Amino acid sequence: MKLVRKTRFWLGGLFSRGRFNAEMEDELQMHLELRTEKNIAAGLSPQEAHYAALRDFGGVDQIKERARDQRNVAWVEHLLRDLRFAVRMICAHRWFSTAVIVTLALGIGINTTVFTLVNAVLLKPLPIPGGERLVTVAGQNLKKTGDSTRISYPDFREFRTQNRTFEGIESARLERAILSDGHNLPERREIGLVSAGMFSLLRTPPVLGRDFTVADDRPGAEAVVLLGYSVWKGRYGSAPGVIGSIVRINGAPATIIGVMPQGFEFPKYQELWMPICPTEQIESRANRDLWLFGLLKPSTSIDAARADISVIAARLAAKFPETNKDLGAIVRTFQDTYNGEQVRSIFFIMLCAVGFVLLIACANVANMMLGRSIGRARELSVRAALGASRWQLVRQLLVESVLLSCLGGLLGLALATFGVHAFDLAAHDTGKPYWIVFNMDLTVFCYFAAISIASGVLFGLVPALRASRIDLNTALKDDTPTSGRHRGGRLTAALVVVQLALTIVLLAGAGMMMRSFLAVQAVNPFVPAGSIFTAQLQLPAGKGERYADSARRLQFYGKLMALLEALPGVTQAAVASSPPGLGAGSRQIEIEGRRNPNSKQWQRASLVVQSAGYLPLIRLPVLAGRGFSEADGDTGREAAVVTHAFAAKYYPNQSAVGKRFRFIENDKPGVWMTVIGVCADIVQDTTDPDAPPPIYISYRQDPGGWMSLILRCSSDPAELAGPVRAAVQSLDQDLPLDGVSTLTAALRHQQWFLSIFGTLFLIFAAAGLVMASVGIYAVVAQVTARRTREIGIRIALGATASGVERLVLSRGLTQLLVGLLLGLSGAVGTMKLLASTGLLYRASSNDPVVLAGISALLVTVGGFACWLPARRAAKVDPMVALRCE
Amino acid sequence: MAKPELLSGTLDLLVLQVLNGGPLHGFAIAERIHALSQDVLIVEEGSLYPSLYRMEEKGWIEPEWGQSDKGRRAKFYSLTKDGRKQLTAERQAWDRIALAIGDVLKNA
Repeated sequence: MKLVRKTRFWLGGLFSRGRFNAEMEDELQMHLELRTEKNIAAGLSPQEAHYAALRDFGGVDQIKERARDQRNVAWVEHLLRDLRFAVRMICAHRWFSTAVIVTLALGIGINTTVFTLVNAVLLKPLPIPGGERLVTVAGQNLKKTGDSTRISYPDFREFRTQNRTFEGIESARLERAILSDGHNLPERREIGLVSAGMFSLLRTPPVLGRDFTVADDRPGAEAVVLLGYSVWKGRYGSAPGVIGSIVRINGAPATIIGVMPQGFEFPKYQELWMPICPTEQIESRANRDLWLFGLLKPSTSIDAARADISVIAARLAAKFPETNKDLGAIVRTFQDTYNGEQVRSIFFIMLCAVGFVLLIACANVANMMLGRSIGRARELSVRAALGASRWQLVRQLLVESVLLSCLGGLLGLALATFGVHAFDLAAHDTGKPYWIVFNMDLTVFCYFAAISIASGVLFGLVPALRASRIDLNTALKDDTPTSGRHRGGRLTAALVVVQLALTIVLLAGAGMMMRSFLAVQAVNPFVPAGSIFTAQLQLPAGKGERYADSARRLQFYGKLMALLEALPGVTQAAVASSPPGLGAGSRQIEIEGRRNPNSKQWQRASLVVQSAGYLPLIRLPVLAGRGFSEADGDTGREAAVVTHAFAAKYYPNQSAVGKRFRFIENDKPGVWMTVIGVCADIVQDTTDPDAPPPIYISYRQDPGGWMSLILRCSSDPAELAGPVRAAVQSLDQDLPLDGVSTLTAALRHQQWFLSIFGTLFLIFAAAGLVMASVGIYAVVAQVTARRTREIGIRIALGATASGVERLVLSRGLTQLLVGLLLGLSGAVGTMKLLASTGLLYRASSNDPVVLAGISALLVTVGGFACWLPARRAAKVDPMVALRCE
Repeated sequence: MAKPELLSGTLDLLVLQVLNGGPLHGFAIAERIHALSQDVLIVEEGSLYPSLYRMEEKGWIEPEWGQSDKGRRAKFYSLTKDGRKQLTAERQAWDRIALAIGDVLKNA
């Protein structure tokens, strides 16, 4: 009942304001009359009695106002009134408002975009019921600095049965497998070998067919496979009849039992799933190759799970010391497991960068508001004179700025929608896990709303506080706008300096990324990447597989190269363990006659295994000795070509040709290899600046199962895919060909990171630079405009145009330089941070070229922005200027 | 002698107590407090009306338009059930404080 009455009172107050005011008027009027009568009774004249009553009463309107404020609805009324007024002001100053809204839209839009990305990558749980409770369990080497390892099947079983904090734990082994059947070309797909309960743990049943059951992962169970939606659609044309048919996975038959939902690729980008059936090998406790996924019980903390799991791990370590000694276990959230330190730091840096953009935008708008508040001083003084308190003035100005920022935010939201879409397209082909979906959800919207309102308060508060600090006497009397000349001058200057400093920091980040990007592009200029075709072969070379015998592999490569060289348009063909610029495995080596400084720490080299034609094909010049001949690499003729850097490092001041070294594998030395030639330097790994120098050996010496085909072509390399695939298939029907592309495209794909994030940072920095320049221009122009009369007098008294220009410029340029110096110190810090992430190619933490470049850019653009108003000032006609006020 | 200031927070108590005797309009409330305090306490209109509106909002008193003894239309306030409870609570609180202050003044 109480609530009903209260609500009625509240609503009544809000909607029947007229009646409320009339009744209050009546009530107070009667009070006044009664008092007057009493005064008359005491012997005063009616006139005197009335005045005495009024005097005693105090301000009738103030009483009314205070009585009104006792009601809860008062604040709503005030807010509505302020809002109405704000809308009127915004419409009245159309251009000013547009400038503010556009600036904020840019700042808020960029922020919302990046937060959407951060949310998708780092915050959003897996889209399954209870996804926020999904964790991974991994082994942890307690002795070796906590390296994490995978987990063996028997250990998995113990974790699953003994834990008390999980709803369930399931395991998966992630591999690639060849999918073949009688009808389509064989394809290599990502496969997850999972324990049978995996999909019921994830609450994700197949859309077609059935899930795995406990019968499916028993030893010796009949092989079954679940298809990913994309495989079903792409390879089998979404035919429902595919259920029950038999395909071959790595050559072994398996029955298709179902199709998983669209977009489901758990845990990363798996497209096929089969149950793990324990075999003798899998049952070995030393064989650790499982990832464990668990769902915590509701309202169980991850710390409780950690304690639970480590107790089990400790028990296992005590029980099976041979295999599990010093082996602990760690529980991490799903996100933490898949987002490495690098991913987190790059997104953190991005969030900081866009925070800077927003700060610049706010500083800019704050300056505009400050500038205008000087013009509004009279309006505010009148309000104050009519009885508005300072708080009321501040509130009204704040409502106006928050309304402006919300309008800017709405425009920014549209911008962000576009930005997120663009990023999604750009990041489409970068191997991101399936659960990273770039879209806006409630979290993003809350963030968006928070920054919209917060920026309104941020840029509105200082100008509002300052504008409301009014000395009524001077403000009302003084008619000339010059009166406010000094007010806010220092604050304005500080805001400009902050903007410029933040811009320099942003420019430093962008500059570094661009430089790194350009450096990567300029790597290995001698390689004719545009006319090179590459593709990956993976011969099944495991124990008991078709290419287990190295002679078979050699034979296959030999035949294939002969076939390929005969193709029209191909001028040279070679195989290599990796194409130029796309990385290489590193090996431990021992240099003959050179004592190892530390027997535990062997020397290292990056190894590329290749066929004889490879070096001439990529145009890597041999500087000393000779290149490979066909016979090199046969037993007794083990040979190597080393790069100049390798020779300089290990054979300083002598010829490397004829010297010997050997590989050390598992602390066991291999055969001695003779250096037959020294070739020019090449960057084999653009992602690791500390990669050891490369060496080349013949594929005859070490014919691995993974090889890249490298073809030099005279025609368009893109047209070769079909014929090359046909050639491979003519030798082996079940062998797929992966990664078919030109070398240029492969290199570009390798550098997607730099190109996407470099572009983003460039956009941030450009936005910052434009805003800061407009900011400094606006401030200098405003100050100049206010000094028109003064300048006119100076010119009339004989000041030269250049003197006036200098006068106006000096102020702007001082701010520019202070901002630059402040910014540069921040920039060095930023560059250090970026360099430490290891994401950039050849990034040095204080690259003088970048620092000089961004300083020059800022000084040029900022200087130009200052010079424009200065030039106008110099052209002032003294007669006009003196009359202008 | 300066006019004694009404202790802050006590106005509500006085108004409630006065209304406990029956419905009154604003002027009468002020007069009644003035008279009952032997002309010591003067209730300012600037405090009285905000106080009345606040207590109305809280549901302690209820307004009703009626005829005053001189036939004028006036707004009469009367105590509600909640108001009576509030009065008891505030009286007890006041008694405790008065006693405590008295003790301090006597024994210090």
